[in-house]
Amino acid sequence: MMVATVDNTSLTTGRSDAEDVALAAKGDRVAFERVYRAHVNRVFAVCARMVADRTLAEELTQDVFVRAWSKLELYRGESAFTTWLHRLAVNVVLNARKSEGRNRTRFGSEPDEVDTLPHARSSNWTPGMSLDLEAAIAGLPPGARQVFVLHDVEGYKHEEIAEMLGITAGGSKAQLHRARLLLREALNR
Amino acid sequence: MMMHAMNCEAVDERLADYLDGDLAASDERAVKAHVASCVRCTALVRDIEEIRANASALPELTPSRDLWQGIAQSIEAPVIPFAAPRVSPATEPNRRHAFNRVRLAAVAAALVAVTAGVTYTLTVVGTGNGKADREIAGLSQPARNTSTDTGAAPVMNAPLTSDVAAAIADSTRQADAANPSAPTTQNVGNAPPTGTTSREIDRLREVFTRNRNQLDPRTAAIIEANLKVIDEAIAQSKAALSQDPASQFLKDQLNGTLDKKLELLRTAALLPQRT
Repeated sequence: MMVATVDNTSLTTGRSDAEDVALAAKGDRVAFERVYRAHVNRVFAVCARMVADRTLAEELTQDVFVRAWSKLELYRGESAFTTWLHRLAVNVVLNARKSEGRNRTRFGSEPDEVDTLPHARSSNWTPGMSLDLEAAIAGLPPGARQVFVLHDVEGYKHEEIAEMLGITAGGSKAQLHRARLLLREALNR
Repeated sequence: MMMHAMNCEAVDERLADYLDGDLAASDERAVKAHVASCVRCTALVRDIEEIRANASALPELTPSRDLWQGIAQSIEAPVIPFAAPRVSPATEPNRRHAFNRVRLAAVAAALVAVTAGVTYTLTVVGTGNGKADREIAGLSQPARNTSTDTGAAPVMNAPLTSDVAAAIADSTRQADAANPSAPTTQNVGNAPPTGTTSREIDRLREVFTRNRNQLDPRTAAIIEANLKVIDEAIAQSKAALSQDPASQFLKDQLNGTLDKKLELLRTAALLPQRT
């Protein structure tokens, strides 16, 4: 996936992510705070886009890092830390969604059968207007939104998404296409 | 090779695969040829490709507040030992604090298993009447199991004696008064347990103690053992809450455990009537 190629380096200490991760895995909380600060925006972004609720996304982001702390010693460095952390974030979001099924409003109670989205802009759309795109993504039905964020924003493959969401790769592809068409409609209105 | 012409409908059907590069070469050429000559499909493909490009270039987002404080509090939460001897500081391994919720979740899981087991034993094995479901359902609504109830309420095998009925009805009335929509300790919602809940528990405990000699000694021993487990879990939840009073998880744990205690005591209070 796309984020696997990213390697963060602490701007404040000059230490690499790998060094901080290794220290944190041994219980160094200061190093873990540096890891947090290096990655929080990216983790928050994936949470916020998947659940379309910034307050909930902040709670989930905290959960991601708490879980990361408890699981860091299991990280073997076989993939980039960013990849590992992102996968953890996606799992936290998806698990939270499952457990919150009783309280669907927190994740948006809109039916997944929505065929149109609210207006995402008030003027003609110009490519690159990310705020409009953010708003349009937030208006997608949950299933289509998750697949779109995982595939087109985060760079996961359909096979990976299918495994994470418990659907088929074909289902992931169909949701993605639907999401793109809905976004196009919303952005061109 | 001759290329077959496509119309817009055929392109629409293949568009997802076309955009992901998953079409066979011949189909891909046909789609491309159609798109090049069709204003509608040209715009469609261009827009979707722009959406893809913009999506992959979306910037990181910043939370509205610094989340580290909450994370630091969570990872510094003290470990609550569960049924294990205390390790002296000199011999305690130098390791990171385990995640508190995991231990409490384990306690909760144990309680569920224990309570389910004792309920099964007492209702199915104990009575042998095969009416476990109805009786378990009835225990959650004990005040409705009176002689005036002729509807779909669960059926009890014998009428309640006055003290048991009074205790259970009283406990239910107290709970209902606190919150009509919740018959048990749910009445405390997100708050720590109230005096009402404690009084319910005390009253039911008195009934159980008074009727204990009417029970099979093995059954009474099972109930006592499970009450002990529940009491330990309650004590641990309270201790954890004193360290982290704002934790919704801990409040939920405590309320859930108190519910289990109430359910078990109600079951115990009713047993002499059924055996």
